[in-house]
Amino acid sequence: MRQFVSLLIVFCCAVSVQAQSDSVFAIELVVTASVQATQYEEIPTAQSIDKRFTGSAFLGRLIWRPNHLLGVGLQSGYITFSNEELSIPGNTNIPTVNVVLTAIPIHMVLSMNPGDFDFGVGIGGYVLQSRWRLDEAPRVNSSDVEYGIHSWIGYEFTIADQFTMGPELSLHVLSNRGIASLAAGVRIRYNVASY
Amino acid sequence: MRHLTLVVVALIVAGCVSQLDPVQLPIIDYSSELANTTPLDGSRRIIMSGVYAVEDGKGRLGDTVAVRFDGLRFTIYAARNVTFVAGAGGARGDSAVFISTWRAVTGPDAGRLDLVVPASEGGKDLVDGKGNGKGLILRGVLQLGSGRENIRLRKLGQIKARLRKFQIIAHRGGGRNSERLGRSENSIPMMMIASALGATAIEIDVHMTKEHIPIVFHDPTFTARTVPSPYVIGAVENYTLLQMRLAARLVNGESIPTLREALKAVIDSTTLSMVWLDNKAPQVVDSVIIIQQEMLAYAASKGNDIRILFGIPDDEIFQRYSRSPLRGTVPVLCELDVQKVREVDAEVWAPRFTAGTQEELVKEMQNEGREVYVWTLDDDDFIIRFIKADIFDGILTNYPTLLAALFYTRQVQP
Repeated sequence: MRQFVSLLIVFCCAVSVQAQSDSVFAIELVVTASVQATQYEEIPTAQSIDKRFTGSAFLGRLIWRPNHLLGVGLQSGYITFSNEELSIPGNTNIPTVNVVLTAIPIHMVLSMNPGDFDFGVGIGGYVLQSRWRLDEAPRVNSSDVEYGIHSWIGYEFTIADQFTMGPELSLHVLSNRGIASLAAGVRIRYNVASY
Repeated sequence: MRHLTLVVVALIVAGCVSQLDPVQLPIIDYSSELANTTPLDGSRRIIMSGVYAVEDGKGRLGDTVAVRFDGLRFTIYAARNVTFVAGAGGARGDSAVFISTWRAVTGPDAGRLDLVVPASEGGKDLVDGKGNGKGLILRGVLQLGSGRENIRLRKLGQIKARLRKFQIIAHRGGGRNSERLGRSENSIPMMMIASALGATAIEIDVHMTKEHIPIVFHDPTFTARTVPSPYVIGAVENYTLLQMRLAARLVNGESIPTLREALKAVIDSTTLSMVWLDNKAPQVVDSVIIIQQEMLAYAASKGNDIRILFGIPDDEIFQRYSRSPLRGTVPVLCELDVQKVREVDAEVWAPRFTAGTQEELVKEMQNEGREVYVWTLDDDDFIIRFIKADIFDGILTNYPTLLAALFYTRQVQP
């Protein structure tokens, strides 16, 4: 964790470092699609058989890259942390319950783009949503906001004039809720505007 | 941009702060360690109980402590560091021995405390049931990790009997999660240890499930502070009881009790004399009253004269109660102004401590046959100020141990 903090502090210090003098201001859109492995700190229910789950994540980031090495922007998307069927002991009327935990991150992001690499961090809230489907019983949707951090590292191959594409590895941590989720996926970057 | 950098660094540092670690209490096998002792009977427990001067161990326990029994459970309450001791013991030969655990509620410190009343220092008289125990010496060793500290207590006198019963009312069923008592706030296991913490009564919070079943829970929403499961988030009333039973374990693993379950457990298994229902769900006012009626009847059938008070904390509950067809059928505690207390004919008025001691109003209420409890006092100086006023019938606190220590040590009967 200390190394992670040190890395982020280095990011922040890079704010004042000037990039090449002939660089331009740009606005970029980055979209990612990932599969992810989520680990809860504790088994989420007494009926759950594991605290590790697989899910998916679709994220979009809009980044303003000024005449500095560090870009700033906003990120949102949709993440499925876990999806499981719970059996109800001793209840034959409702044999199973489907429970899904999803999140919509609303993050401020900081991103650095040295060479073909891109790495960064997103800080802000996750709008968590818990959805329960009970056979022949009312659905439940309930939501809450938790603070969390997202960090990523990606590599880019230029595939067209304004497009790059490549792999991305990222980590979501919602420490207050005991959720950590590692995602591996594909990213596409589009240079929306330069001025 | 520098401000942004500072904000980011602050957020990262805040995110790295670890949560409070659980307190490790020693595990004691009382049955084997007390195999050769005979529990003290009621009269010997009275001889043993009282206010004690701390001769060795002032740094840990302060100048005076109160020693009491909750049934057979041996307890000590000290104001210094809000320290409580709970254990068991009895006569062994011409001495009395007590083994116990101690915990300073304001921090993580906890350990074992072994005490003895030597035969020559009051033990023989205690075992023989003679005298009033004045001058009796309790001595022993307090352990904290690998450290040991000698403790020596000398009995100053009995705890003075009062004409009016004074209620030490523990908030959230006995204590909050932040005190790391090993039991979750508003859980049944917490209610079971409330009297060992010094409480004579408890306040519990009443919310409701999606199907309008009254449950005991403090917050309007589920958060990691109370329920760690990631599936249980947002408003409490979004979830059915079935869902709560499936996924909503409290921070120490207990299930969220229904109001009926909680009251039945208190009646069946504690010596508490009053339960204050802090109603937070106006939709279930009638259901709460019906459960209250049932449980009062159940207690009466068991010869238990416990009081269960329907709490009116705000105008919404006041309006619902006032319009209820069941109004006037159960005892009521009202936190609002005295006019509203009279309107609902509440048995108890519960003003907030920030209004001061309000001595004239308190006496006015008492002259009308009502009791007055003040809430919520956690600070030594404020507690002492309200105890010294000597007009209140009870105080609600998050630290029943502190209130018990401050109250009982001021009631010494030489």
